Amino acid sequence: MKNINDKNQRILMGNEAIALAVVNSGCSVVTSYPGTPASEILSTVSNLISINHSKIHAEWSVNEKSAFEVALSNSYLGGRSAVAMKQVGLNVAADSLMSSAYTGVIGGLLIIAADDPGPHSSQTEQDSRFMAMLAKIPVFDPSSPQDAYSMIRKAFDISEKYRIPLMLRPTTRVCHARQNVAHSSRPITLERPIEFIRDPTRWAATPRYRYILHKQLNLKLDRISREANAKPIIVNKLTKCKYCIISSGVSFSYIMDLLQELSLNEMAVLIKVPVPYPLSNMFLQSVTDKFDKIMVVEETYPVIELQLPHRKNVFGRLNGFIPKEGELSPDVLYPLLNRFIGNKYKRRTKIKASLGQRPSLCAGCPHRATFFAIRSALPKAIYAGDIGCYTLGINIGAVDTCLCMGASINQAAGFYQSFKVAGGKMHPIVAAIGDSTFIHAGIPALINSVYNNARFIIVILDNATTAMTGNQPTAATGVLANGSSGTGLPLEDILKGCGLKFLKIVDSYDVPNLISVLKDAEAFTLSGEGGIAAVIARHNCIMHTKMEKKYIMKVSSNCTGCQYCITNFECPALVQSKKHITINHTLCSGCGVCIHVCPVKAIQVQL
Amino acid sequence: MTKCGDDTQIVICGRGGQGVLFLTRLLDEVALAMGKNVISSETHGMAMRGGSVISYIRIGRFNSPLIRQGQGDIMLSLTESEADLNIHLINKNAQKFINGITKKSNTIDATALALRLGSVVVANLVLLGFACAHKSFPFAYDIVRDTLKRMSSSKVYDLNLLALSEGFCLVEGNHPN
Repeated sequence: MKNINDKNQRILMGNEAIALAVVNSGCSVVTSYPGTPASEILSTVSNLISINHSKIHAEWSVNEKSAFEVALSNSYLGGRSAVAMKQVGLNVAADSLMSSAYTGVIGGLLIIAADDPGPHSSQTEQDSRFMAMLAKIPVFDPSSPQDAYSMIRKAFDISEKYRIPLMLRPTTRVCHARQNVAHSSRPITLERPIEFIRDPTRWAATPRYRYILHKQLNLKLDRISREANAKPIIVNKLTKCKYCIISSGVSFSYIMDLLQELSLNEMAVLIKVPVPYPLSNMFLQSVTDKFDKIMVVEETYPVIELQLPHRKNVFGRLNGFIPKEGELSPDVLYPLLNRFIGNKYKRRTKIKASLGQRPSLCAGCPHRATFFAIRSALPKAIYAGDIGCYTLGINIGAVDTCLCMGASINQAAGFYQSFKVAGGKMHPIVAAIGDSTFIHAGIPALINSVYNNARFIIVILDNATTAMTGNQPTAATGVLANGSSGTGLPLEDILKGCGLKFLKIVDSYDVPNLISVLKDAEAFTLSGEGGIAAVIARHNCIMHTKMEKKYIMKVSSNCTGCQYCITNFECPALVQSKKHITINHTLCSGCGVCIHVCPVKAIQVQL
Repeated sequence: MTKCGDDTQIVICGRGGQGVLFLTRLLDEVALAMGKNVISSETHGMAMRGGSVISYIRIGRFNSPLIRQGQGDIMLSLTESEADLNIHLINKNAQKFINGITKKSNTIDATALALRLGSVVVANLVLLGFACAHKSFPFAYDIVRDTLKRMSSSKVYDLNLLALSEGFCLVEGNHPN
């Protein structure tokens, strides 16, 4: 426990603690693409730069691969760098990650990959520690914001000592926990040259040299596994105890709290694993030999557990003792810990997990208007969806697929090719993708679709921001991380550059016009000379650009209570009240789009 | 000054946009100002879009941010339905402070009062002020008010403090100095 009297303490969110540690470690380049739960890291770095006037380049990159390579290159020149992303973002940067482990670095490189057990706001529960293992780089697994802060300096030291990129793998409950964090008062100053030292057998290694680099990498890992700062820590030395709990990440903190709550501190040797990979053979062998029963508690995949040489006496995810999916919350761990130790405990009646209120698009969200128009114009189309706020279009039946960033376009192309081969009537297909996602992974997909003569409608939901993750700027607007202006790349120019012959730009709120343009777009995809038709549905995000209420809405007595608007439009400001619909004027943004929704025109502007 | 016992666990719940996060941050700072260790948890990402939002604050000897079933000592809920949804998180003797329109104990219409004060967004502070007026609540009004002053931008400063004090005055005999 920290000394609360330590003067340099602040309440920091995990992501803020990470950002502060990155800045205090003397990083000169920090990059990121927003994604929950990692989004606040780069924005905090950006704020710290403006407060401290530090010489740091912080950028929102257009995707994780770009972010990774920009940060890596600074480390090639001797600078310290950090790149932050969510776990699925690391998939996008995986190509660069795997290769960079071989080339190594000169200045330290910290890859922050934030995992999301649950998942709370992700398409998978994947464990980035496996990515570190696959790439053969060390991974630190912090158990709290304070732990994340303290680990980062050590991580940079190891990264530079062994010239190897290194990963920090926080999870949602670290990223979005807030804690009083003790921290140093100012950044360290690194006196070092930034220079390119030509070394083609490293920086441009051909396969022959890659073999040598691989051999070097393996030697590095072996030595790192024996580094004092990477070794597992025995938290409570109990000489005669035959039970052992091995844990890492926030799971370790849960176990600490549960042992304390249950007064079971003397019942098991607790080992904290700050670096789940690489683990030394000596540790792995001795821990399995020494104890009668071992429980391994880690999120989300069995990374430590799989490294144990014998697992006969191991209680974890592999033998089914711990659930193989979902977050290991203290409520999940409570009975497991009691059972493992053989402690009698009061079984609680299982609370039926209630889902609560499902999330939905904001009142006045332009995406809702666009989706309503798409469904009205093309009711039979396949709606290939994508990643962002607009995935919530699923609530109103306007999203049929959601795979990963940018997939809507390739999937639309794939559906087209499949129907074409099968013959018969062409099936209408709409790919709906946000502006930031389009720039992230949609452009190569669109080029591929054009090149291979696919035909479908692409609707770009352009709200001029990356909304879901907290309104980070996009390359289309050209606003940089610090708010200054970079070079904007208008979406229409990109679309034209990709060879599209049909391109219309419509205000998302103008539903009748949008419907008619979408019908034209469909006709184009079917015509002899046709191809892919693009529609930019453009309206600023209402969370980002606050607007005055344009209209005061009302529901007339014509309302039949048919609930068509609730089912097909799902605006939070339209509320079912007894037999009729009413307007919640607190929530209503006054966009007036619902005028076009009501089948009996009962929703009207109050004059 | 401190009313806080050794360990206190607080559940704050509501819907996205109701200011659950702000209350969490405010009480974190209050705990630090009182010289306590604190760790809390927030909801971010998709759930923020009007969905159910819940925060946990753990003050004292805690290492992790989540509250186990039946362990919460205090609940602040910005809607009645979210209070019902999360009731299993608090213990039998826990104190509840709820924004709602039913006539249950410690339930006040903070939304209506906030609207009268000028903005629905300060319903959270009305509820917090109301909670501060109770002896069972671990934070004294004065320290909450002083922390709120530090955390409020000039644009919302007056409204925030008014909301807190109006909530506090809902309990008879209370007058903020």
